[in-house]
Amino acid sequence: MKLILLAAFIAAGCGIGVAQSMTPMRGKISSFGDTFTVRVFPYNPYPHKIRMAVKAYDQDFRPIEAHVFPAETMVGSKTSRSVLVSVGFNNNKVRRVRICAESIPFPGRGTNIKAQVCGRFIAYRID
Amino acid sequence: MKYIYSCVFLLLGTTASLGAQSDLPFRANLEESCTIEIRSDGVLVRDGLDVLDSEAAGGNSGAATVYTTGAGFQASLKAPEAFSRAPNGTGAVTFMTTYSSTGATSTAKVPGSTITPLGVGASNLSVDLRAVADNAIFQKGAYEAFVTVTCE
Repeated sequence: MKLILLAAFIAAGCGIGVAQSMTPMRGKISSFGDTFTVRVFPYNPYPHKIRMAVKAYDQDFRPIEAHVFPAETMVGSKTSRSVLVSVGFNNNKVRRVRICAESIPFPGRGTNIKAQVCGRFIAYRID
Repeated sequence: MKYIYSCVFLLLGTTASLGAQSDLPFRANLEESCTIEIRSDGVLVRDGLDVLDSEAAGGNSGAATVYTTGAGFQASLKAPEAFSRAPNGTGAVTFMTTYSSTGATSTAKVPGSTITPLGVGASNLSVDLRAVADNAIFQKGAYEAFVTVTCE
């Protein structure tokens, strides 16, 4: 019984480690509207599911308003999820943004590490 | 009869020599990507009354591996702004992060905010965190903070 409990704890510990990837990592978008939309694919290369959030930042890494669907999602083992991110131009003709897939670690104790993979995108508004 | 056997052998030989060969192509077109693998969490230990440090005796650095499939990616750390878990009454804390790298990217220890260009392949990051209580001491209890490894 002790051995089973030990194995369970080890398995739980292994589950804490998270990784992620995202494609595309670079992109140029041309849009006729007041907003532009990017589709990204966060990927979970691990043998267990993980929870991810997708967020948008400006070129100085400040959070910006964006419509993200789904903003937070579970990603199964070795699968990717399609996430749509729509960002307004804010009256600019060009907007540079970062779109980041971020891991949401399970609560633990001590110093945990979060992974953040960011793609850089530049959007042009066509009048 | 000999004539028939000769014809059969001749036919077999002709068929074999007419056997066609063709190459079947397998192609891949990979996008550039960056993958961060968190290999182990760090462990903070007390280093004096007002300091928690993963580099102090008994502590552990956190470890992450960053895999890149193309050039032009870079890595950096973001220090936490506060403990995500701490005993009641814990006041303001100043956090400092550092990291070093081996593998595809070789870097001596640098402050976490340093942006390091990543080599193509696997870069192994060793991540440390130091927390200093502002004019206070760390009480007993559980503490938790998150350092963010960024690849972009």
